[in-house]
Amino acid sequence: MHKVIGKLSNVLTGRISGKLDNSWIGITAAIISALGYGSGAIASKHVVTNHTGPVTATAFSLLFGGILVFGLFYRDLKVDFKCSPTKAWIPVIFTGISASIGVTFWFLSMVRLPLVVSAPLVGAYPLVSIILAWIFIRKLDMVSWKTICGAVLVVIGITFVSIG
Amino acid sequence: MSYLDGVILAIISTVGFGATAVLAQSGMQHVKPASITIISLVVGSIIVFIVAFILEMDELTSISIIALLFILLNAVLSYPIGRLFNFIGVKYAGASRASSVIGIAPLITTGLAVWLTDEKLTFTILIGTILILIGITLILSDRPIRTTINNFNDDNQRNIVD
Repeated sequence: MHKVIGKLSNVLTGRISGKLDNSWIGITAAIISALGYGSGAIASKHVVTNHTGPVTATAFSLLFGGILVFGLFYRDLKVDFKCSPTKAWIPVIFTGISASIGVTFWFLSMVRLPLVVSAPLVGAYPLVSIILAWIFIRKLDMVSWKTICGAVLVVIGITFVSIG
Repeated sequence: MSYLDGVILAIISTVGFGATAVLAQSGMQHVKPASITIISLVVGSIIVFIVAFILEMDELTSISIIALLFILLNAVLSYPIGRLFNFIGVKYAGASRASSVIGIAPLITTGLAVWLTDEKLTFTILIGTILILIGITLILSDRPIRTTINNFNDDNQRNIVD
């Protein structure tokens, strides 16, 4: 079991050799991620509709998720704690803060806005990512016009799907 | 709270989600995606538990086992799969491209809802789906970008640890 998890960990955490185009690995991972988020939302919708409040559900979901991922990848965390400089953890901590701001404020906005307004607003976050990437990490992530046009079409499409 | 306050809350949420990928890519210069996922979930759960204590104290203290089981299912799908692969996507494809592709998640939800719960596929959803597919095709047809410039090398890291 540990060998299987170890192999999975190798693939998942970036030790893949340079045989494959990194960009395609990234896009494939992003599609798998969308499948995970998209299918998870079905279970989430059932819980918040029938059983408990949205913030409570999210809090427990994050806790369970943290325990699961820690159980699978605690060795990577151990290695990173030993090898990474302290300042490297600052953006990592802010990643958690920004993600939780996203979730919490999304739920709070849903209480006050109809879905046809909140869904397109929140669904536009890829455009925010593009703008922030262009401003702050231009050296790490080069943004092209094709990506911008593609993201705009995805956001408009998601707006239609959310309204429909 | 007014309608405008709701819009402001939604915009803050959008910025929060949008910044996540950029911060993750910045963090991945030194730290692996799995470690970022763990830390982000720990930090996130602390913050959201505090908010839940303030806003939903009754729900928090009276949660049922069935609700916890459904939440566990959601957690399995959303975090070891959703968020971890999200950060792997950001590492290899960049924050802008990965976020745009992950943006299709509501389409997956709608597709599953149509398939599993017999919800109707409307003309608007169909138009939206076509637009998303065109958008994704544009992103995929883009030239390969440089991946995250890592300051660490996994082999070096292991040697240091050993």
